[in-house]
Amino acid sequence: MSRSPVAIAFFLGVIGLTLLITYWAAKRTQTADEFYTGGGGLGGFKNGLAIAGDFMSAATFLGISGLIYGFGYDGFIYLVSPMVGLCLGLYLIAEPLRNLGRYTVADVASLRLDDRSIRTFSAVASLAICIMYLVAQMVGAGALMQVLLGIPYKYSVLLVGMLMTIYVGFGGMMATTWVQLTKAAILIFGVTVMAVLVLSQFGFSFRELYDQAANVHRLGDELFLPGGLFKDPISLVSISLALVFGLMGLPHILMRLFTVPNARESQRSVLWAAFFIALVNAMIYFVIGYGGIVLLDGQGQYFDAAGQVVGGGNMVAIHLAEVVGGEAFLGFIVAAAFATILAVVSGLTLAGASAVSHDLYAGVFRRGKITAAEEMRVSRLATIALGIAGISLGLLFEKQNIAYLASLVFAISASTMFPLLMLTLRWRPLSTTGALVGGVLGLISSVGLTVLGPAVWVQILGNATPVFPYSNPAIVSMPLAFGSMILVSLLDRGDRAAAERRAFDHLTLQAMFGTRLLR
Amino acid sequence: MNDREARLQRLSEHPDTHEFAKRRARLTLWFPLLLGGVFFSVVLAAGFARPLFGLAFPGNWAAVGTVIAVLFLVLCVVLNAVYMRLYRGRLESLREKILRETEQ
Repeated sequence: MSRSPVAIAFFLGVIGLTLLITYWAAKRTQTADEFYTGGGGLGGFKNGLAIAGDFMSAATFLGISGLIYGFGYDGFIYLVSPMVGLCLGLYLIAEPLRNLGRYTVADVASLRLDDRSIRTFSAVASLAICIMYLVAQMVGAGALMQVLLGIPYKYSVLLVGMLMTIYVGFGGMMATTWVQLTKAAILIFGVTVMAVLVLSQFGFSFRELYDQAANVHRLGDELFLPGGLFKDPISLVSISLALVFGLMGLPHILMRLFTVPNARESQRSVLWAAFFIALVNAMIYFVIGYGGIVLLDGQGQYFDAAGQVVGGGNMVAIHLAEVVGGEAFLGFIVAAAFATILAVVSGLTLAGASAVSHDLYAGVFRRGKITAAEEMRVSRLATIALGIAGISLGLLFEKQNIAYLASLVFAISASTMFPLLMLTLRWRPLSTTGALVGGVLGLISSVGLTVLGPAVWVQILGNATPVFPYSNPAIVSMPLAFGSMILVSLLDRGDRAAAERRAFDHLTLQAMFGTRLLR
Repeated sequence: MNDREARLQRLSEHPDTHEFAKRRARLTLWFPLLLGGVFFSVVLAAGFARPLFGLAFPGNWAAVGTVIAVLFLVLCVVLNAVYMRLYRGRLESLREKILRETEQ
């Protein structure tokens, strides 16, 4: 693929810019509050852009383009699901979370439930989600950089791992925020320009674009009909549940809601994030995906001897960039893809480090008796440890099929963090025992059913048929988590459970009116 | 009783707190139900379309599918705007009033 001077120049430019941002942020990150929240003074618009930058990974830009290219209409699930998840987050979570919490979701849950046990569970679940997501991103980054810039896989993984450790270790949330903001702006600009260039090839006529796509694609008119990717309604519902509700439990997304000064800015953040993500996804879905079908057709240099896209489906948008914009634009898009990876892994590393330093070490191990300086030291050490873990696992999983990991992450989040958060905020009878039983069952069932499903049991372990027939387990694991949390809580008649129910009334007041006003 | 607990008590006893809680609960119930209901209806329709209709789709289904995707995005944007408008109009002013009156 491309080792053009332009691509390399843009690539080095992204690295230089992000390191400059980190240098600037490091001077402003001295306290634990600044490390975890960037000082808490970020406005809704900037935070919304950062949330969009945190969420939109290479899978968003490259993966969805590839899905539309291959399967057409069914890719719309990946377009609208994050939008719905964020909208529901706006209505249900943004305000109370900001009013109640300090740095992590465990801070919120432990306001009414047993501090040590809930903090431990929440931290473990957050860490599992962050690490799995990180592995998926690192493997994707290694493969992408190898194809795009000719950097050998292991050096790509090492480079990404070192950069994310530097951003987070030195600059904390401040550096992470501005890297995500910058990346979001670059991505929105790049995708918009690409969409305009693609549409201009069809006289800015959507009808012309879609007619030609149907003529070229193997699916014909069925390209615009459901059923190309998801063959049965249960699979479609299951992936939808995971994407929508799992997003509302992702630790690196929720953590961003604590970086704003109040609940109003938290809501504005989610509003803007939903807008930016919808904008990018809409351009990918309505223009870029279908544009790739037409404009790559007949361009033999982008297909191998077997007729498959060179580099796989994820390369559709990259090849398209070269077709419509030449070498310069290709270089810019490659740099945008690299920035995308850096922004997401930084957010994941920060969320994981916070789970270790704030929840496990400071909250559980030291029971809150820790100085801010010591907590900062532990945060930085945790960042380094996660960086090493990310690099090591990225190298270990090089040849593995890890496609199931991204799906599993959302299923785990929908079956652990989301039920815990929703019932803590909204349901009076929830008890610690109920929360733990439901959370553990959600975790075990989401992981177990993924292993027993087609993605692992058949494709990786080589069995003929799966034990669990669906790739995404959310349709079972999420109701199981909710159901067991509710049932066990209702059966819990202990004194601790009664006290936790009384604590719900205070928590609700604080969620409505804001705890910072009351301190 | 410390200041924080005293403030919480005044908040819980304020005559408008119950009304505030009711309005907030209504807003945060109906919007998610509406959006979630529409979304999962679209998902179920898309999921069952092929098993029910097989390959014999009516000719204009292609346009319908694309229009549904566009309309859904518009719905999300409109719902968010309406929600924020209602939140600011019906909740924020009442919240500020309660906080002011319970300050001392």
